[in-house]
Amino acid sequence: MGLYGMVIDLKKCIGCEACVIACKMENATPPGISWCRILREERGTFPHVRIFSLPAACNHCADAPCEKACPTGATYRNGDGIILIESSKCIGCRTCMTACPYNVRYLMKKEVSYFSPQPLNPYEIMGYAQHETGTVQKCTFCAHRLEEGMKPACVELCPAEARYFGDLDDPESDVSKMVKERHVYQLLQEMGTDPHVYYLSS
Amino acid sequence: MIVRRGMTFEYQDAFGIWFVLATFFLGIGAGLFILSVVYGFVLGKLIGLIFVLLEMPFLAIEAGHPLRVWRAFAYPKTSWLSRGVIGLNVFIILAIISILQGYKFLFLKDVSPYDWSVNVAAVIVAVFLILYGSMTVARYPSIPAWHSILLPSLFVSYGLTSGTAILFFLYPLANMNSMQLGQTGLIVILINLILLLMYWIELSLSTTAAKESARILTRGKLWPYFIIGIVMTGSLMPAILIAGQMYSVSQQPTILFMTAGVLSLMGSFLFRYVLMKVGIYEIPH
Repeated sequence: MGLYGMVIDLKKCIGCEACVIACKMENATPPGISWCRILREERGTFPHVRIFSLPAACNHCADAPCEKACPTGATYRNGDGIILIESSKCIGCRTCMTACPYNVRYLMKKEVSYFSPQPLNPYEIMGYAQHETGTVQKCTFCAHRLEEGMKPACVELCPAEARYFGDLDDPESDVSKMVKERHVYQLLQEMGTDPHVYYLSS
Repeated sequence: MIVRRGMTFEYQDAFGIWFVLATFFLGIGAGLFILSVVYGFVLGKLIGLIFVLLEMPFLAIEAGHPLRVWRAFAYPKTSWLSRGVIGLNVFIILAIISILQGYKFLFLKDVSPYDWSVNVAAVIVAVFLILYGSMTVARYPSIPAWHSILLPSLFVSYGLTSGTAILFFLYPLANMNSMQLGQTGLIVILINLILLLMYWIELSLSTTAAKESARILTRGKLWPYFIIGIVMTGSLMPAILIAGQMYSVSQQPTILFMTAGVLSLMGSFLFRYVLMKVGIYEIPH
């Protein structure tokens, strides 16, 4: 039991989208759905211009509006502070999608192959088995990997090592030290959701 | 000067036309029921109930798993959708009792205090139903254009406008005073226009995403829907037609009332449609 959180160092992030690919490979999300994504912004004036990349996914908020909006209790928080969705309870009403300020929840409408009109390939058949059509899905902090003592796929595969993951309740963990000692910020703080994903400013 | 380009606004795509239709029919039904109670028009109550029931298939179509919708009763403590589903069932029961008593009233000419308590309760739940439709989207700050205290008021006033619009077709059956009905129509349209203006001003003075929504409404891709569809054709035109009917020399032609009713319904539908289309998330920062 802990309180899992993530710190993303935007100075280290090169926007390579390895985290996006890692997430897709690990969770077999269908075309059009990416639990992890990179938002980009052009900053500065010519010739001093640079691309700013902002990795975004579910923030596993302490005061999660999606959890409150869910009429069936399908969205819930597990013992480690991770917001999860119990697909068998989800009615696909999408109120959680509009309640989330970060727009990181997705409705799986149908199983679509990446190679459509070809039928689903064996990888897709195996991967889609963990998702239920007509229900909402989102980043789980790779809860299935955490159970096996591994880190989330996006953290594991980040070539710039820009992502840090750990227990925010453990004062000795990297993430809790960073949150305490460095100038971290949370996305859309004014929404009052208290995300468990922190960013180190670029 | 720092130029920030590239990170664009994201439009909500969770709710679509089915949600628009669901809230539209709910608004018509609840609004018509409330006005029918006020005017003592039993047939109006029955038609109002039918419109409210029409909301249900659209909500079911919108849901990814319609057969699991019964689960939506589970969390009324935090979820407005849950509260709405419970309210809908309470309304159906109260409305049926009210309608049955209404017909008894017609035949027996007997009004007991109990009759009115059921009617009052049904009206309160009908108002709650209109409110739940708006609160489902207005409760959370994720989409600034929806997170407005004016939105529930707009839903209620548009519900009453839609109810009046249907009464413009039915009032000859109800032995209603057309002058009184016309006045009601004019008042709700005026309230709509004032609330719409206040809503637009609120958006214009609010967050970045809300300002963008306000811009889209009056200068962006939705201006024809908002200015021509909702304000001019859906509000001003019906007001002129209602006034024309009320003060015409001949009290016979109800065609003006009916045209005003059709235009009001169109305005009410477009209001909900436009509202869905201006749902923009704040850019993460």
